[in-house]
Amino acid sequence: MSKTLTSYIKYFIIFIAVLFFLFPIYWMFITTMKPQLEVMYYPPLFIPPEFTIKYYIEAFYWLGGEAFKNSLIITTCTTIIATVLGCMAGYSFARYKIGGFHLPFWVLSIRMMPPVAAIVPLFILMFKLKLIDTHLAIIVTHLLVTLPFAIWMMRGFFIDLPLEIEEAARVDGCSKWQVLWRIALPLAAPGIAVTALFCFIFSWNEFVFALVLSRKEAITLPVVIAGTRTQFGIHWPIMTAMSAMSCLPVFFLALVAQKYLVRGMTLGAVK
Amino acid sequence: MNWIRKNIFGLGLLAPSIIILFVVSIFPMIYTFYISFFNYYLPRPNRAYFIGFENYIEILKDGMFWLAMKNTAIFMISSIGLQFIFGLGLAILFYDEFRGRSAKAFYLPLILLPMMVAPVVVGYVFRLLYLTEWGPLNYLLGFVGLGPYSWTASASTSLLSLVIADVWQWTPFVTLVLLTGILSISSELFEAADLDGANLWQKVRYIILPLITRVIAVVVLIRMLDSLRELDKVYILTQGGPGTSTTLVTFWSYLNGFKYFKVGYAAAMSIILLIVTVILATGMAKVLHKEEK
Repeated sequence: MSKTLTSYIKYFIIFIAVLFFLFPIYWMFITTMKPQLEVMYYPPLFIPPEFTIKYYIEAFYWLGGEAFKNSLIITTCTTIIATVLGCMAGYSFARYKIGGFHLPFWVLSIRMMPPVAAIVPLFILMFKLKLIDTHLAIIVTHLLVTLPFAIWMMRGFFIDLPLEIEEAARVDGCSKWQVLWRIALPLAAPGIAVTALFCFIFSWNEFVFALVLSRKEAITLPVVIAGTRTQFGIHWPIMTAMSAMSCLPVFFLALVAQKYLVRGMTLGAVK
Repeated sequence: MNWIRKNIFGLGLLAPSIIILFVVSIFPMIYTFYISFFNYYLPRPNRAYFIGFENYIEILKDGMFWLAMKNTAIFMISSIGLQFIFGLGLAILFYDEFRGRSAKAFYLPLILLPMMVAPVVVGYVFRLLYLTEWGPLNYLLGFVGLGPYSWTASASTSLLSLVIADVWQWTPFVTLVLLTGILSISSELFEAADLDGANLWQKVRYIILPLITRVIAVVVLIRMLDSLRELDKVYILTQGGPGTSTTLVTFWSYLNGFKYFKVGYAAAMSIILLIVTVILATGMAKVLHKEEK
């Protein structure tokens, strides 16, 4: 009898927790369907007054579409570069043990540095190279966040692969390059996919570098969202519509990468 | 020389990454260190002049810096503390409830979403929830006779507002990592404890906590390093205010650099921040290195 009671209490707590974590996201989605005046309505509407995508369309034409495109270009380029270079450097660290543990960790620690420590010099550098407000400038700075991560993750995935297969291939006459290309990379394919997904998420959500280095042409989605605060206050439906546009791709990727979420988010420390 | 020839393939694979990281990271950090000894006003770079340690001395004498440090410390301790308490509680609950079944698959998709939301979006969505007159939070609190609070608009609750948003975003992460740690404990230990008639509290105290200390260390260190970098949510949610109530060190450094253009001063502050980061990262290295050996 008391056992069922405690189990009801447990389910109740879990229910409250799930509600707590989902409510703000729910609220974001329903606000995309409320006219600005109904956001300022008392009591607050917990169910949208109508189902409409008109604010998504408005948001799309009001910089949202442009920013989505920029974000997509920047994030895709960053992801590809970081993953390719990450595979190469990660393999090198895993198999050739250059720098032992400390050099790879030092590379990883770059990701942990506060962006403010590097941002002023990067701004001056990009200014001198006349690269402010270009995709290239933001891609390069996003590599600062994603490349160390990709190298560290791929190093971990390559270390997990059995060494014997590669040694056997070497004995059979494969070159070092063939071992990497034909054996190690295909075996590490799930790891590569996961690393790429996380690089995508980090770059997609990055704000500070994009804020400082973009003006108009290369402006990314988070920067546009931050810019919805005008002198007339915040246009809530458009802001939330853009937020939803920013969330949906990442939610989808996160569901795909579920199994590896912990490994990715803990930098491979917890598997 | 011989070593280079032997490892030429490995070094070749490494070279492009090292060059890029040098350009985007090492060079800027050295430059930051360099200009931290200058009186450097961004609009007039040609008039920068060397002033030695003066920026550092000024920072250490500046009450605002210490206030920002205090805010950062309060923010870190309270948000990580709450995330840890809620995270551990939920992880144990989930483990206990869904043991035997595939615990992770059941609830994971539901609560993993917050940590994927861009911090900028988290900031705005919480502003929406915190609206004093029309926000759902004050409305719901009204039913239990609390409020209305002005949340981000009042100096007494603004830091709390920031903490709540951070707890919302990162508790799922802490829960997930701790649950992974608990799931990796051999189930025989729990079965033996069940045979001995141990209750849940005893299992937590004598089995779970001692066996997941490494996972706890990892998760707390990651969260500490992340909170030191925290800027996006502050920028959106409060802009460091009202007054100085939510000015964290990163935001204060950002303001000095990109609003007051006191670049040398901001650089010196980033260097101080960097030292703290290095200390925490060293702790992280110890934990990770031990495991690899």
